[in-house]
This record gives sequence, C-alpha cells and structure tokens, in this order.
Amino acid sequence: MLKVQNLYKTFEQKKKEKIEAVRDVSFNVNPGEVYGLLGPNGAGKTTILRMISTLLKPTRGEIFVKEFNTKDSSLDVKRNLGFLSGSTALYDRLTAEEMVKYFGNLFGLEKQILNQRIEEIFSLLKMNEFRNIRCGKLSTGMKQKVSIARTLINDPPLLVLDEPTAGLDVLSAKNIIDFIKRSRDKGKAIIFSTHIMSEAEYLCDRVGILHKGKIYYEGTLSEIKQKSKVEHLQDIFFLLEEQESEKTPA
Amino acid sequence: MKKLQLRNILLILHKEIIDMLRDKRTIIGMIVVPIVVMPLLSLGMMGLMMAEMKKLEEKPIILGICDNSKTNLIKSSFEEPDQNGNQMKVKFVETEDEEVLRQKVIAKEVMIGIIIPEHLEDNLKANTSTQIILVYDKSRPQTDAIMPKVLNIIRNLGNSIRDERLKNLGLSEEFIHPLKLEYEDLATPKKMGAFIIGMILPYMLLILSVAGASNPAMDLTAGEKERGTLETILVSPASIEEITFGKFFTIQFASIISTLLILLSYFVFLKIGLFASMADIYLKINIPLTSLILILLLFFPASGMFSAILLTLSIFAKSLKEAQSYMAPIMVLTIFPAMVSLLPGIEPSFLLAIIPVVNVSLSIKMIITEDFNLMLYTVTFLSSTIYAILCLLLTINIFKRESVLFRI
Repeated sequence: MLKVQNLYKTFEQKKKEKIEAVRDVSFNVNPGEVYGLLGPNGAGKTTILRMISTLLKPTRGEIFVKEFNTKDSSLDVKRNLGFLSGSTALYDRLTAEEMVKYFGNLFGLEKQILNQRIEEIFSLLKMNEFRNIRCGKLSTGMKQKVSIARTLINDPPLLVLDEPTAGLDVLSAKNIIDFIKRSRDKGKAIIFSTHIMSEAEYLCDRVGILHKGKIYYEGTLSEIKQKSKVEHLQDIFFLLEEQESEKTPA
Repeated sequence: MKKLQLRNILLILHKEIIDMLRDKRTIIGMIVVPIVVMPLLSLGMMGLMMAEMKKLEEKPIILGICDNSKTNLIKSSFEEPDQNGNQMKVKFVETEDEEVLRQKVIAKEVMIGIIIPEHLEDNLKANTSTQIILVYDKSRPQTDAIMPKVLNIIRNLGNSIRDERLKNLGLSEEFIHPLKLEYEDLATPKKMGAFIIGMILPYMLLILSVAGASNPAMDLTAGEKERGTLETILVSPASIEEITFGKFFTIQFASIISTLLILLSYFVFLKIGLFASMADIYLKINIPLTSLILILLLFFPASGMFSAILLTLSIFAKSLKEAQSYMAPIMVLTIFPAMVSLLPGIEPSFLLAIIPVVNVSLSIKMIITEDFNLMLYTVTFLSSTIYAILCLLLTINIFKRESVLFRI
C-alpha cells in the first residue's frame, strides 16, 4: 500500500545552511498493518509524513501510495490517503457536518454516497448530537471526532497520522486509539508517528526507530528489543544518543 | 499547471464566503463600517464644520482699532449695512497705543487690529492716499474667515471716496476702468458635478478596494496558517492552483462588495438629503449606464491585482500580526498613485495608461468627465488585466513554495 524508498529531505536555512532532516529512509506499510514511526522531537517524523501526504517534496528518493508516485501523481496520492495531525485543524465557523461535507465534496463524492457516508461515520463516532454545532464551540474530544470523520470521509486505504494523540486528554486519546484499531481491522494501512512508547507498544504491528532523520531499527517490537538488546523501547533512544556522542570528537 | 477543476474552485469559493460572512470582524469591516460608520463619520465631520461656521457667523467680530486721526471714519463704515442690507456684528476695542493694539492681537483679545494714521483727514482733503495698517495673527484659524469681510468693508469705503473724487473732477468710474471683465462660466451644474466626482470617485474606488480586500486576505492565509486549517485544505485533493483561485475570488468578491456598498450608502445618504450641501452638486450629475459598466469593467482587473498582491503578502506572513504589518505599506503605495485623479493638469496618455493604479484612476476620471478616449481605455483595461494575471501567477508560485507554506 505504501512504499518509501531511499527518502532524503534537506531544508535550506538562511545563509544557505543546509539541514538534512531525513536521510535514506525506506520502509513499507501493508494493508491491515499499523506501522509506527517512533522518535523524539526533531527526529524527522513529521517531515516524512508530510512528504507521504505530498505537503513536502522529497529531495531524493520515492514514495508510492498504491501505484501512484507522490512526485507526479500527487492528486491521486491525496485521493488515497487520509491525513490527520495536530496541525490539521478545523474551520471554527463551519458546523461539524458542513466541515465533513466540504471535504467529501472536494473528494468528488456523489451527493447520495456522501450523505450515506456522513450518516455512517456520524453514527459510528457518536457525533449526531453535535453535527449542527460550529466547530469553534466544540470540546477537544468532539473536535477530534470531527477530524477523524474528515479523514475517513473518502474511505481512504491509507491513513497517515502524525502524533494524533499529542495534547489530548485520556478520553480524547481513546477516540483516536479506537479509530486506529477499527481501521486496521477494516484492512487499512496505517502509518502513525508518536513519541509515546506505550501507545506504540499497544498499537503497532511494526515500528521504525527514527533518530536524527535516519531509521536505525525496523521490525516488530520484540525483534527490535532483541536486536538492540534493550529491555524497554525508550532505552533505544538513550543508546542511540550515546553512540552518537561517542562518534563525535570532544 | 495541472488541469483546473472549476467544481473545486467553486466549492472553495462557496465555503470561504460562508466562512467569511460568519466572521463578525469581516462583517464589521466589510458591511457595518462601509455602510454605516463611514457615511456617519463624514456626516458628523460635515455637521461639525457647518456648526462651527454658523457659530462664527453669529458671533460678533471683535476688532481692535487705534484711530490716531480721531475721525471715526473707518469705525462708522463697519456700522453701516452692506449693499444687500446685511449688518455685520462687530464689537470694537479701542486703544490709543499701536503697540497695545498689537499685544491685544497676540493675546487673542481682538481678532484683527486696524491702525489709522493721524493725517487721514488731511490726506482726504489733499486727495492723496493714506496707509491703513491691518494687524492680524495668520496662525489663528478665524483670521482667514474674517479677513475678507474686513477687507471688503474697507475697500468699499475706499471705492466710495474714489468715486466722490472722480465726481468732483467731472469724471465717471469708467475713466479709471478702461477694461471691464465679465465672467461667463459655461460649466453646467451637471458638468461641475462630474468634474468633482471625477476627481474623488477614482481615488475612493481604489482605496476602498484595497481596504475591503485586506481583512479577508489576511484571514484566509496568515489566519489559516495560525489556526492550522491551511494544512487541512492542502491535504485535500484540491490542487494548489484551485485553492489559490478559490481564495483569490473570495478576496476579490469582498473587495468589490465592500466598495460597492460604501458607494451605495453614500448615494442613499445623499438622496435622503443628509449631506444637503453636497447633494446640490452630486445629484445634478447623472452617470449613464454605459459609463457605469465601463467603470465596473475597469474596476474588475484593478481589484484583481490588489487581491492577488494582498494574497501573496498574507500567505508569506507567518502570522496575522506579521500580515497586518505588510498592509500599511500597500495602502500607502496605492494612495499616492490613486491620488493622481485629484491633481489638476494631469491628463491621460499612453504612458500613464500602462502605469498600474494611475491608469485606472485617470481612466475612471476620463469616463465620468465625458472626455472618453476608447484607445486609452482599452490600453488601461488590457494592461490592468495583464498586471492582475501576472500578480495571480506570482501568488500561485509563492503558494507552492514549501518554505513559505511552512514558515512557522
């Protein structure tokens, strides 16, 4: 479903200073699988997910969603994925229903199909009681549900979730976790980034450990623990940090 | 450029207009301020000015007089009614010392001081001139209003003495006026109205167009960046071009509507007679429908250019606050070229017809004052359209840059 091959991303800062945010990253995500990109802040998780969702262009390397390449088929790629992140907010002055309908229309869904999808999703996520309330007046949990509905409206085979539970309370985070589990059960491919290890251990079938733009370990959680010889997943980052400082001359 | 889907552009335009009309700030800026606040402010200012002028008329003029001749000639001339039978309300403060009179003018105790020399009577008898000194403070706002009245009375006194002298010599007034001037103004009230409207309307249209576009431009770009909704629309299947066009047309819509609303509200205020003194002039002009269509046609690319420029600057800004700081220079850059319609002596030409803003300002003036030149109008329309398209292409280019979109 998702194939990432030798991906690089370099940002040019002021004074022509270059920052290599992503270095030679490759991985696949299959249908019915949750792939976790784990890493501390600044590891390059958001940059990779933004490249998958075509918001950023790779400096080198290729990304395929189904058979579509992000370089030359960005609109087809966008039609096949649902992107959700902390920075994909809602229009405060649209109601929950208007918000979801707007995106459904942009996906070109026919009126009848769109209305049917809205009814299904609103019932599934228990959103009917606030469907006519403007998003600006909704609670954080309700907003999160509207965002999920917006992501699901085109029934995409791939879900790209960038730290979807960041800043949420326990109940709102549960909405997201249930949504991921339900989507996996429906055969969707899911890539999600997090720095909360317990979430990854609970949800992910496979993970990629990202540190300073590079994937150092990849596999199931038990495989990674075995390879890295650490008891707890978060210890890997301390290990990688130590290895990094040993390489750097004092 | 990928193939544009009109459906997506219309969807974005429709959503943005709904979103905009639900925003209290935009409603206040786009509707309440233009149709209520601005005319009322103008009305208030005009009312205040008229009240002040009336107060000045009713208030007696305080004149200081130092009559060294003791003839009372000048003073009595102020007490006589004029040719129309109107009596000027004057209060005299008399002094015998010229320096004291000057001090009274400086101390604002009197509005204008009149110094009459000792030998006035002798000079009158000898048929020679006498120098009357008027002491005033030019920095006082009332001076300009009162001075013509005082001069008029003294000149009339001088003229009657002159006529008396001529009569004594057996000569008529024509002896010293071999050439007489008569003024014949062929400007009809309609033409005068067109002349005044032709100066003001282009300037107002252009400035209001920028003002009307700036709030939505900032809200739809920098505001969306700040609120995080820009990323949401960017991951939808609408292309950057479609998103840009949708936002661009929304801004242009706001610009045109707010400009038309303010003009309409001024028209209504004039029609119901709230600006009575102005209505005398403005309502005598009748802009033909074809002229209105020509003006609106020209206004379209002009507002398009402004909308694209404001959209580009706003998308470049990290936040609403930064976007606001870009708006003031744009306003200044528009005000000066738009003011060309207010300047006398600047006539439309082919060179001016390709200078942005200046061309539109002069063309609208040309249409209203009925000096229409089709060639210049066409050049203005085409060049403005080209500028609008170029600005829009620049906007799309800027919108595509990652460094601009994610400059947070």
